[in-house]
Amino acid sequence: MKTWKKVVGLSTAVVLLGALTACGGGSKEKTDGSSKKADENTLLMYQIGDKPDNYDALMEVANKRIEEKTGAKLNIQYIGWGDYKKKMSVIVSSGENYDIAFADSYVPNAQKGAFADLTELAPKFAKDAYDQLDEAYIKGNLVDGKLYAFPVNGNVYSQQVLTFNKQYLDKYNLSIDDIKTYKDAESVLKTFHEKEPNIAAFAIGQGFKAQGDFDFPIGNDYPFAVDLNGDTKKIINQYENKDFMDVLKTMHKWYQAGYIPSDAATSNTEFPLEGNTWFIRQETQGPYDYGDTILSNAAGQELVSKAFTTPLKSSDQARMANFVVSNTSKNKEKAVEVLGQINSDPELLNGLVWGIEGEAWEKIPNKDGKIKLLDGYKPNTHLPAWNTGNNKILYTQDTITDEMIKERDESIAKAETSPILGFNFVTSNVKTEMSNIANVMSQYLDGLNTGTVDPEETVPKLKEALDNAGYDKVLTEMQKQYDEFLKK
Amino acid sequence: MRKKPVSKVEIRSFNKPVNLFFNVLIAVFALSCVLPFLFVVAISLSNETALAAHGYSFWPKELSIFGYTYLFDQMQDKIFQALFVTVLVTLVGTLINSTATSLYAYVISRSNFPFRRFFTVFCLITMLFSPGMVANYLVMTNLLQLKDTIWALILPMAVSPFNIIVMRTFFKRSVSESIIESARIDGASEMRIFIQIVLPLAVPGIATISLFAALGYWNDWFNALLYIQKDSLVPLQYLLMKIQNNIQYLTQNAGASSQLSGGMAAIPGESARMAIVVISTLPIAISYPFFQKYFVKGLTIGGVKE
Repeated sequence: MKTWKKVVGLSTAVVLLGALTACGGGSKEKTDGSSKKADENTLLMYQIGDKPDNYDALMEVANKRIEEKTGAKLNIQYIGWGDYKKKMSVIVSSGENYDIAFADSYVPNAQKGAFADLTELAPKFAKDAYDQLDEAYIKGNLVDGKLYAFPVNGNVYSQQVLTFNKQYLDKYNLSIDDIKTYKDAESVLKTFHEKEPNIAAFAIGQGFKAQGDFDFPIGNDYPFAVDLNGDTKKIINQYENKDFMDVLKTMHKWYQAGYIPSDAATSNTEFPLEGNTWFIRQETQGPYDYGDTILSNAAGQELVSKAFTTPLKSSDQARMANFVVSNTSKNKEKAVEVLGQINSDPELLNGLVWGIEGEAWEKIPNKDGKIKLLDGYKPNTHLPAWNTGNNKILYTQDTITDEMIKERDESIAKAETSPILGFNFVTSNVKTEMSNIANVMSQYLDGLNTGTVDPEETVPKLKEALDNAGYDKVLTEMQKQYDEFLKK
Repeated sequence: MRKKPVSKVEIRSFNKPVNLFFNVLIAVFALSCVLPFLFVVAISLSNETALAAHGYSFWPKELSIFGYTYLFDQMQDKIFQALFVTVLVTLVGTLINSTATSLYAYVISRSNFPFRRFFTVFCLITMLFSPGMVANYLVMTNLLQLKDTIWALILPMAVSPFNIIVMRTFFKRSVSESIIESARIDGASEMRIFIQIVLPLAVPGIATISLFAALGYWNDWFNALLYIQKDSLVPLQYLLMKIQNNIQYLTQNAGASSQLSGGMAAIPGESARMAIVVISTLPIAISYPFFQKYFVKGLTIGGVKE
């Protein structure tokens, strides 16, 4: 045998193994080191999203504060937006030991007993933050009468808006003052499409849902809805509702006229907010958006919106961002205490959401709760407000006036509460039918909502398919549970 | 009369039209494999705004290497770190996989090994019954404590039962009992027989399963999804997966985009994404021809049953 071959082979193997142990070994020491302490006072928290670039610096400031107040430390592990669902389901079903997590599949997991019961813990260990929550938050997060999550106080109500790209409105001198429904937008769409046929006039894609004044007990992927303008004690199929049919017809008309991209039903094309590849998009807005302020900030260009649904406090909004404490956690009380701290301590929360004080922002002297952004305020060097903590205690930029804040609080008080807030449908009796219906819907949803198919032909087909899938059985069961819920 | 020299033996070949038909058929098939990739390359070389305005095309309307410069400027650290992890995992993993697989397969291919039957069934069972994701996760994280280590990317695929069965048949067919017998008579130990006699005879087979393993390791992203949290251990395919998943999440939750965009890192444009695909596919595609000469031999002999 040729010796050099042996030598080369052996040495590569050695080098590779060396590199391997360097990588693996190093990381292991670190995790071992922290996990030993972790049992005592570091809480493991799973959060959705991208890890901020300056995570270490942010957390150093935050942990100092948290440790001072509660004696615990926080270790936030980020899981990507798209991967969160998949990974959390494995983590939950494997019974892994973690403390806090951004809730995923909240109701089913709570019913399974994966999360700690916070009904008594939250008012006790996070009193300050708990008291600041809107009633709708508590009611919307109840599962079988118990609270399993600590919600982030933010957009408690929401409404659907059509958002217009201001640069095009100005360029073609279009007025949007009278727009109150989808239909009203038709004339501006028409003019725009004639002028700029290559730009998506109504920028939608796969997963788009046409909206009306409905609330949905199990999400708008399913054909079960409560008509907020009709009998709110009845659960109906929104695809049989006349108003919604009109909306679908409008969509189809727009699709045929070319206002909607021709591949909308299957396309994942992204229309960046800051870009100019779109004219109208559909957004969800709530009180803490301060009109179009937040949206325009995110876009870096002026956008204007027109609302077309009534503002509604719904379960979806109450569970928009809610944090659960794992039943496997050894430090449940500490975890609740830390959650309470994040949601009630302005210094801590603002340090996370706006970035590092003095670097990314500074307080404006003599003005309470107002800040000025500095050059250090960059994307991805702070946490998003909606899924971090209580928006009420956030400092605001000086562009947001006291009047806007007053308006915000009034609008929250005025917003309607959904009749099905807090209603959780228990599917155990109709599991087969539910999955049949899900199959049927996945076949029709995108086509109908994006206007790709003609609703007058397709909706009857959908109804027939739903009947075969056992729609009536589920509807009866849901109505029964809903009646019981209403009696309470 | 002089005999004509035989230039070609045509007994086993198709007649011309049939031959042409099959050639066209294969050509179409081959094109359908290659074209999508060429398409990706074309998109990666297109100008972003031209893409938005005119859509995709095989011939870029406006050539631009912006996709690649974006990667090198913006994502340099991430991309090269991920590439390093992928290469390391592929090299080490393939080494471990082919070693473990051929050792296991050789042992159960020898008729005088007493537990031959048990170990064959043992291996078959893992092929037929899968314990599921949660069980795997528990073993990896709780029992072996491998979460966030590079081994979590290597060990789950270190032994593949299917390759073991292929190799076992391969050893049986290509290494005859008598050659092992004669080596033993000459005084060779079991180890020497394996290394100096059996292995050189089995090169095509080993090359084939090595390629399978290398492909598996190179393309794997699922293990990274489950077990890797640390940025420094993210392999290239998972990085790509992550970007893709983020985009999907963003488009499907379009209504919440103003709130999301506060926390979402800038998503690379279409051409940059395609550039990542090119970078992550090209190396393994290039390695193909080097294995190809072993391919036919390795697979057919491995597949034939006695």
